[in-house]
Amino acid sequence: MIPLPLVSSGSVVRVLHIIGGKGVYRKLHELGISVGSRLRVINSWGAGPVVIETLNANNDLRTSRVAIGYGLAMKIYVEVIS
Amino acid sequence: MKTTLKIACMILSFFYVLFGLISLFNWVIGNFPLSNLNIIKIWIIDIPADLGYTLFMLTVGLLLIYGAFTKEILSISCLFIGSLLALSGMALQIIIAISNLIDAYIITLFGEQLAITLVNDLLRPEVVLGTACLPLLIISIQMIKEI
Amino acid sequence: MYKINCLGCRDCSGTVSIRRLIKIGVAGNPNVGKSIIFNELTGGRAWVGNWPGVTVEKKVGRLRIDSAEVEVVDLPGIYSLTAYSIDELIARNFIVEENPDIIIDIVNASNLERNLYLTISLLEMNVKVIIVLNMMDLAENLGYKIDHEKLSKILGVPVIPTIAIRKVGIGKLIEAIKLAINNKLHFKPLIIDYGPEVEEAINSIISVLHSEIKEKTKYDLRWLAIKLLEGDEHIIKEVKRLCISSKALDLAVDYRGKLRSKLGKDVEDYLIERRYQLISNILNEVLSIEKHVRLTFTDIIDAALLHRVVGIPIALSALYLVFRFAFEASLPLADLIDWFFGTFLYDIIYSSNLPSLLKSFLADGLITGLGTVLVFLPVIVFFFITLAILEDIGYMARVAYLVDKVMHKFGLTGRSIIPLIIGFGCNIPGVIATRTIMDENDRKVTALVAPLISCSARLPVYLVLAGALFLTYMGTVVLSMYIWSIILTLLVALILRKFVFKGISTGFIMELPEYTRPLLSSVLIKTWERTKRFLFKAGTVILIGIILIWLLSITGPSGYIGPQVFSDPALLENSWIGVIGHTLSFIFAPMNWGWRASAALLFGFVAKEIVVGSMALLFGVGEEQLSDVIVKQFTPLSAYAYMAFVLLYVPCIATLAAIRGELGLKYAIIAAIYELFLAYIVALSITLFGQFIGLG
Repeated sequence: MIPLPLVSSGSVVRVLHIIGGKGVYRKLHELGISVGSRLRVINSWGAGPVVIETLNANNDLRTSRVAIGYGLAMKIYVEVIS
Repeated sequence: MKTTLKIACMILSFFYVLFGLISLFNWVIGNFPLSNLNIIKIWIIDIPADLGYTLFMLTVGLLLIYGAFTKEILSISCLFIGSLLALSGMALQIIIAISNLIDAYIITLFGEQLAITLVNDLLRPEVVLGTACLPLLIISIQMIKEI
Repeated sequence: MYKINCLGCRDCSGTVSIRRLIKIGVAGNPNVGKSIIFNELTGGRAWVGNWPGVTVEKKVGRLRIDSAEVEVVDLPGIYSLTAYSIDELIARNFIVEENPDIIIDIVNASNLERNLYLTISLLEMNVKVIIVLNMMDLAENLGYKIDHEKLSKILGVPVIPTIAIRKVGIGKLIEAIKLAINNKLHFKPLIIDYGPEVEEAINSIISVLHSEIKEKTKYDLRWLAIKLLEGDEHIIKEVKRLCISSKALDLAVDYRGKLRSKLGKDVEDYLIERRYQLISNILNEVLSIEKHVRLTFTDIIDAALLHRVVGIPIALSALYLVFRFAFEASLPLADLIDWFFGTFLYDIIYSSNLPSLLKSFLADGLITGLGTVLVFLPVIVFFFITLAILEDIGYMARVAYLVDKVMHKFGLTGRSIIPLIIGFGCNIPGVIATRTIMDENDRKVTALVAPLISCSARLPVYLVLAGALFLTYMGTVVLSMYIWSIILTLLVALILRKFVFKGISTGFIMELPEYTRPLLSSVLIKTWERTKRFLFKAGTVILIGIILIWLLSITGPSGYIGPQVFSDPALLENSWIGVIGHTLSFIFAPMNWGWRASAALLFGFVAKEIVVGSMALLFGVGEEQLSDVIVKQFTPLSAYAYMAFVLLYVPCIATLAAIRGELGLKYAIIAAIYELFLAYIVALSITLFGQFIGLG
C-alpha cells in the first residue's frame, strides 16, 4: 500500500484507503475516486502532482481524466494491480 | 523515427539552442559591461537580447531534441509541440512586424517621421528557423493521425 | 396557451390568449458544454446576476418558442444534489422554490457513469428532465456506442444526443422542449428500489410525514424521506420547520442507527452505492464498446505538455508569446487611441468657443484622463482574448497542474495561478476570477495578493522612469519589477497562509478536459466579461476621480485659482494638490521624491495609469519633455524605489471595490493598509540599501 504520487506512470491501481474527513472524501468521490475505484496513473513526477484516469468498473476504459495536487494525492493510498 | 527526420530535428535544435544562447549572451553583455565584448549579430540577422526569448528558443530546441531521441508517444508529442511552438513564435513575429508597420504610419499623425522597420523585424532567427519547422509540424500531425 | 374571458370589450370574440412564461433550468456536471448549450438556446440574450445571498453567478436568458416565452436559468455545474456545497444547494432550491417546468440535464456522453448520477438525483426529485447527451463526438472517438432510445425508455424521459460545439442536435432539443411545454411528452417518475430494509424505513417515514406536515409542501415526500435517512442537514432544518412535531426526524434518526448495523455502513454510503449499481445496470443495457480506443489526441500531446522536464518551459514559452502578442501587437491601436484623445479631441476642445473653464475641464480633465486609461484597452483586449482561447482549448487546466507543486510551497494551489495570470492584464478581473477557487482560505489569500501582480497600468511608470534614468538597462529594470511582483506575491501569500489564514488546504483536484476547438462565441464572451470590468472602471471610478483631482487643482487654500494651473506649475503649487503633495513629500522625505512625484502617487490611487500623466501635469510639461524633467528630479536609486512603491502600494480604487465585492469591506481595507505598509517598507529599504552601498 503506497501513496499515489509514488506510483510510476502507466500503472493501474486500486484505491485502498483515503486519509481525511468527509470533505476530502466528497471531493474525490465527485470525480470518481473512492475506496475500491480503479485508476490508471498517466503522469507522475515522483514527489509531485499526479494525473490519473478513472477506469470503468467493468473494463479498463477511461471514464475521466483527473489532475490531483501533491498534497491531496498523498492522502490516497493504493495498491498496484498492473 | 526515420533517420532523416532525426537529423533534421538535431540540426534545427542546434540552431535554436545556439541563437537562444547568443540572445542570453547579448543580454548579459547589455546589462553588465564586463569587457569590450560586443553584441553578436549574425550577418544581417538581428538577435534580440531578451531573456524570455532565450527561454523560448531553448525550449523549442529542447523539445526537438526530445523528439529525436525519445521513444513513441513522447517523441511524437515533443515533435508536435516543438514545431507548433516554433511556428507560433514565427507567426507572432510576423504579426508584430506588420503591426509595427501600421504603427509607423499612425505615428505620422503625431507629426513624427515615418520609420519603417519591416525588414529588420522579419530578419530574426525564429522567423527563419520557423519556416523550416513547418514540414516537421506536418509530419508530426501525420504521425499522430496514424495512432 | 390560456384562453381567458375578456371582460371589457364588446367588439371582440370574448376570449384572449396570453403567452405563458415557462421556466427551464439547465443543469449538469462542470465541463460538459452547459454554457455552449445555454448560449445556443438563448442566442446571447442573457443577463448575469447573483443567486440571492451568495457570490455565485446566476445567468438567465430568454427564448421564444411558438407563443411561449421561455426563461432559461443556468444552474452551477454540480455532480450531485447533496447539501454539502453552495452550488448544489442553489440547484436544489431552484428546483423546489422556483418550480421549473423542465430541467435540461446536460450529460457528457463520454463519461456516462458519473454524469448519470446527477440525472438520477434529479429524477428522484420528481422533476421533468430532458437529458441532453452532449459530446457524442468524443464518445464516438472513444469507441462508445450509446443506445439513446433505450436509455430514454429505461429512464422514462426524452434523451437528445447532441454535439453542441458543432450545433448538432440543438434543433431536436428545441423540438423536445416545445413538446414538453405543450404537455405532449411523457415523463415517468423514477423510483429506485433500495432494498427491503431501506424501503421499509422510507415508507414509514413517509406515512409519518403525511400526518405531520402542517401545510402543503412543494417537496416530494419520498425524496424528503430519503434525504432524512441520509442525514441531509438542510432538509432536516426544513422538515423541522414544516412538521408539527419531531416525530419524523426522530424516526429517521432511529432508522439511521438500525440500518447502519444491519447494512454494515452509513445509510448515505449505501444509497450512493445502490444508485451507482442502478447506473451500472443501465449502462450494461445501453452502452457498448465498439473499439477499444486507448489513446486520444489529448493523451498524445499531454505526454509533452505535462512532462516533468519540458512541461513548465513549454508553459513559460507560451506565456512569453502571449505577453509579447498582447503588449507589442496592440501598439498601433494604442497609439491610435492616444492620438484620438490626446491630440485630436484635445485640440478640438481647445480651439472651440467654449468658456475656458469648461474647456479646461473637458480637455485637461476628462479627455486626458480617459485617454490615458483607454490607451490600455487594446493591450487588455489582446491579452484576454489569447487567455480565453487557451482556457477554452483546455490548456490552462494543464498550466494549473504544472505550477501546483510550486504554488504548494507558498501555501496556494495550482488553481490560484489563473486569477494571477489574468492580473497581469488588469487586477480587477483577476480578483474576480478568484471566485472559482473552492477552498475559502485559498480564495481569500489569492484575492488579497492578486493586487501585487504588476498590471498593465503600472507599466508606463516603469517605462518613463526607467527610460529616463536607466537608458540601456531599461528593459532589465522593467523586467526586475515584474520579478519583484511575482516574488512578493508568493511571499505574501506564504505569510498570509502561515500566520493569518491557517488551516490545511483541501488540496487541488481538477478534471482535465479533452482538448477541443475554441468556440468563437465563448472566447468573445469571456473576453468581454473581463474587459468590461476595466471599461467600467474607466467609465465610473476614473471619471469621478478625475473630476475630484481637477477640482483640487483649480482651487486651493486661498480660494479659486482657475484653469491656468494646467499651464503654469507655479500656480499649481498653490492649489490643494500642491498642499497635499508637500504634506506627502514630508512622509517620503527619506526617499527624496519631491512634492510633485508624491502628489502623483495620490492620483495613482484612483488609477495607476494616471501617475505619469499627472506627473507631467504637475511639472507643467508635455509628456514628451517629461523625461528631461524627471532626470533632474530623480536619481536612478530614487527612481527605482519609486517604481517599487508604485508596484506595491494600494490597489487602485476599482480593484479595492472588486475585493470588497468578493471578500467584504473588512478585507478590502486590510488589503489597502497592508500594501501601503509593504510598499513603504520596500521603498525605504531600497533607498537605504542603495545609499549604503554608495549608489546615492
